[in-house]
Amino acid sequence: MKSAILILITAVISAATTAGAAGAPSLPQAKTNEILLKVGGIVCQFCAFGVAKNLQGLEFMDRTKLKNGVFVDIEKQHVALALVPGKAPDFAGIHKSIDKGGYQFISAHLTLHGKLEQRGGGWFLRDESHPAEYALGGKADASWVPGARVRAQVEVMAAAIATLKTGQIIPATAYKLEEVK
Amino acid sequence: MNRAFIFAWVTLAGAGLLSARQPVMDMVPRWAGGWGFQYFHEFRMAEDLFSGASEVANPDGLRKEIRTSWLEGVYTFDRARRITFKMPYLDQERVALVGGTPVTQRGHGLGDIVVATPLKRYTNLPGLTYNFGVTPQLRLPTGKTTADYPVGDGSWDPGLSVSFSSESARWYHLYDLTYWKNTRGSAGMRKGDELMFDINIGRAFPFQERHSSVFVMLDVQSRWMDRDRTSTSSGGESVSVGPMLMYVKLYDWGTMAVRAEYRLPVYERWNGTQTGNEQRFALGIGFAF
Repeated sequence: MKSAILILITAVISAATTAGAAGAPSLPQAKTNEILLKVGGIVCQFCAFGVAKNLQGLEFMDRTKLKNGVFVDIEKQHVALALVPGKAPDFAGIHKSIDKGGYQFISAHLTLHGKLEQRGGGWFLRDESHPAEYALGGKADASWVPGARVRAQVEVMAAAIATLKTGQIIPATAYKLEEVK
Repeated sequence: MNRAFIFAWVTLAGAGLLSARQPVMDMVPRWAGGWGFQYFHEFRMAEDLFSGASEVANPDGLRKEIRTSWLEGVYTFDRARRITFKMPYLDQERVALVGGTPVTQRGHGLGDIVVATPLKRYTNLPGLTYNFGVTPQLRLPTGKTTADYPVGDGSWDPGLSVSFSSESARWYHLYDLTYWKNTRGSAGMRKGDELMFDINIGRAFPFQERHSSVFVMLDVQSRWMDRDRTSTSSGGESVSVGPMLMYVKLYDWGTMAVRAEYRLPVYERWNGTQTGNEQRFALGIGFAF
């Protein structure tokens, strides 16, 4: 009897470890009006309840989209946030929500439409849909024209925005610009 | 030494045995201000008699059957600090020899409550989260010591666990070493100290679109128990193994975890003559908010 039960247990574990996962997720992309967060260690949806709850409480969240505004993708350790058009994202709030939720915020990614601006020797990108401005560090491209309308993919590193206040200029640590005619 | 007395001690020690698991596994709630509770029903039964590592004849039909309902709770101050309690309600029965005659004895009621303060150090990496834990615990003398088959021993027992667990989207591992110091109880009882090593290794099957997961795990518990202070025919060692299934679901209002466990010994060696080959079934449901 004992042997039979042990064989059964081994078979169950073996089957469990060789079978593929059902319900493979459709991965969320950094769409316009969304922020895609890279979060270290977020490998379990139900463990991430605290992160989701904290994020859902932020003012700029559109709780009618995704799952109350948030989708946790444990395969890629991404968290997608739906944004209310016209409201500025609070990156310090995002940072705090993830930290208090028990995980490590790595970076935020956005796809946005905006206008290029040049001031004091620096270049900036003003988001058209949300009242936010991004500082484009690094070497400027010779083709950039002040006032040009662009489609931008922007990356913001967590370390650069931990104490950022809403309305402050957000340092874009990486970006890709594409002029929109 | 009277066999019935020995048997009483051993079965009491078994009734007080605590596994190292924390409420709703050690996964949740890891968020600051999170709390949860779990109801867990455990059924344990041993009908075989052992002398050392060998099964021997049991002409008197000595046995024990223990049903324990656990109400467990947890509060998380922040990811590094939690406080937990485990409150058992026991309903148990045994056949023991009293003056050479087999007698059925019973006991039921609130058992010894355990409070603990798990302290964890988390590391979050791409695709992986792991933590080292230290958990001071205290078993309170809340169980009655007066029944034929008492549900408590009236002692304040300190315990300490050290643990490591890691988790990816597909795998979960938990290793936990726990030591219980059993002190003398108000009724003069004094069980032997206990050392346990638990291993949980599991595969996760996430259903992201449905916000749920199934975990299939292997649960291994190695246990060593010292002789108690009044009997040489007590204590021993065992290794038990079994499957554990868990279903977790994320709701807007919180999380739910349902789990089922079965464990049976694959190795046991007891000091003197004691019941063994204990089968253990458990079902639980837990919530975290």
